[in-house]
Amino acid sequence: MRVVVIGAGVIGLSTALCIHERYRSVLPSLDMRVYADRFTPLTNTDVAAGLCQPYLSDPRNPQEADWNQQTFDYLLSRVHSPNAANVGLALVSGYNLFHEAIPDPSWKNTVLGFRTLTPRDLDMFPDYSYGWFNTSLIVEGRRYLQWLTERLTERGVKFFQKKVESFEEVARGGADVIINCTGVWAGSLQPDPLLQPGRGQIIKVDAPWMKHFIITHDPEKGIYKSPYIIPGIQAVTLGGIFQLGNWSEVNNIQDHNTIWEGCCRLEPTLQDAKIVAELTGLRPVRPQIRLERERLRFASSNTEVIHNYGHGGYGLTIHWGCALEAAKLFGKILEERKLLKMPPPHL
Amino acid sequence: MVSTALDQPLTGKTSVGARAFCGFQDCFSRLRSMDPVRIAVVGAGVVGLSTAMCVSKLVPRCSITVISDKFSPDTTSDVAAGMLIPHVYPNTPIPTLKQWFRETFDHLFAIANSAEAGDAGVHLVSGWQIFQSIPAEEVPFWADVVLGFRKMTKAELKKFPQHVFGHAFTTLKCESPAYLPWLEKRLKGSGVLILTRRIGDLWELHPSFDVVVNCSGLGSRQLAQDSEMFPMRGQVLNVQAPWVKHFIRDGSGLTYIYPGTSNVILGGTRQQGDWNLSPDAEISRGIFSRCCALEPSLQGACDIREKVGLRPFRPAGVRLQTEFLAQDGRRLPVVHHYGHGSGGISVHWGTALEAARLVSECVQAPRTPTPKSNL
Repeated sequence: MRVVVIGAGVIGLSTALCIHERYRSVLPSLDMRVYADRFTPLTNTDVAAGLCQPYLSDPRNPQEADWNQQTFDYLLSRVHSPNAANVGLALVSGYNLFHEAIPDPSWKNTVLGFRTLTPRDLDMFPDYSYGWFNTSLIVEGRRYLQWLTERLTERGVKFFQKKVESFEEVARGGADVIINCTGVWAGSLQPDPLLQPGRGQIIKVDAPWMKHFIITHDPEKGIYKSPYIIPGIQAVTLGGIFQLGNWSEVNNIQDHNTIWEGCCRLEPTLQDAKIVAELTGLRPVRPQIRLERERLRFASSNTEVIHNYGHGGYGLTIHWGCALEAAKLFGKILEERKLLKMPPPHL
Repeated sequence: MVSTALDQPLTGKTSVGARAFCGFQDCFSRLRSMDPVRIAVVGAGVVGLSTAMCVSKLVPRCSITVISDKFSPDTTSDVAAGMLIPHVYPNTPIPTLKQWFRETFDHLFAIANSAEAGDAGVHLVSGWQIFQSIPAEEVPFWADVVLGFRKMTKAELKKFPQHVFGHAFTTLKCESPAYLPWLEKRLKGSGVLILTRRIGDLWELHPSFDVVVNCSGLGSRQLAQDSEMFPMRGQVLNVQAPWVKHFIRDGSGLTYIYPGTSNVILGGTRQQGDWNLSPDAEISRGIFSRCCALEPSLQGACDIREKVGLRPFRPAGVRLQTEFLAQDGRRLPVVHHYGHGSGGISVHWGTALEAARLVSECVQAPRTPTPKSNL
């Protein structure tokens, strides 16, 4: 059984690992490979700040709320282990700031220690009049991808750098199942008018005194268009850019100024911080994640595709729940083809 | 608390016109002349430098010299993590302690929210204080001084299987290796002189200075002949573990993890009467093991450095008192400001303000007029 995962961002690699962990033992013939034209540190995952926080509003697909929760619980169970830093995981607390009171989010009980801000808290942020404090997780894209790569390599999964031009090409190459984790570029394999880039630019600074995330919200502007500051393991990510439909992967000076001015206004201590990197990424924006099976028909081939793309700006936040779901779909494929020697493992 | 020395008969010859330098009297004759009062602050740890700062703001027309044999990074303060969590002093009423803590917190909070924060080494940090059994006092006196104080939820306590209760809050970390040089720079900017010299006896400062402020910490055992002072030895590990963003403190105060700007400080010990400044390897292993039990990810920590500090412990608590030294007809007013033990950084600004008030009272014009000579 040859499985080809297309895409080596967090979705591709975590889905690969999830499936391999669950099915390799019951499917000895499992031969899994990862095809991608970009690997860490050149994926969009590498640009993400990595804070586990879903969007404020409830997702269109209620399953996504479950997948967010599953991901948080999974990462939380790993953050207390000795190798947490090696995985790229850390607990981090911080502030969400608003210009007016809003209802608590549906994920308030998923994160830890959720509370609304007191007047003294708000004294620190004169431009804002309401907010939340909670403890969440960061999963640093680069380190996590490296860790996933190590786990997959240990398991004998092979990596190939190539630009896949079509599903057909992969099917003709012998793939029985294709896991499509091509993110924002999924449209080049199969047109998807619902998928668009949500261009983001971030500045990474050296500001090790920043121990909290600070995320501001401006409902008029929309998500990620308001300044945010997210500490990572080594550097702090400054952001606040979200441009729908912009495919440019080049840093833009106006965006730099927007980020810098917005974040320094929010946190004056950043003025003296040294800039260590500036990056642009394309969030794979879609009204909801495409996570479903599709049977391809090329001549005599009987290739299944499991699509897993369109995670917007919350890929790291939701990745494991989606990987579990993709693994379930994979299990169904195996059942249908009567390939399982033993009952499928309990997911 | 001010001594009634002013009411004592003046001794020695006085002659304003002749400008005879006669210790105590000379101090006051200098006041009546427009010459600035010469103040020596002994000690350049957090207590010495902050006191010099407060005196410079509170006392008009004075010239201040900070004198110390040790400066940052070699002071006791430099070893301390600098977490704003106050300690209780037995003879200090809680309202006073709370006031000192609040004044310190407010002072540092303003710095933390300004562009100076990075230079001054002051930043906010959130975390948990955890207990293996429910403490007698579930809400400490300082709960409303720190930010967002609340009890930990069950979900939060899951991280600490050996502990049953905890506090979650946000407080400040004041890092002396940055804070002290920052204070020093400010002091120099306002004309304060900084002198490196070891003082063996406070009388060495006479007659060059009119008032001495004794912030010598453990050195007061000798300088103030305070035999009650003793070291409370603390050993810590400075490690690289930048993924640790929260403080964790065991309620006993013996085990703690304090993440800072350039390292994470793991502690600690409280060894009474131990003067040994050399780190002990066995103790280091113990500290590391205790901290890893609370935060397993520390096993990935690297670049581990051992440090030792001798907390200036005084059983009666902080000594904030004016003493008029007298010897062979000489007089020297001394404002004592030492004995902060484990809690120096947490209350330093509040006690420095108090010390500055004592200095101010000390230099005020005397109530009893001195006889004028007929010219």
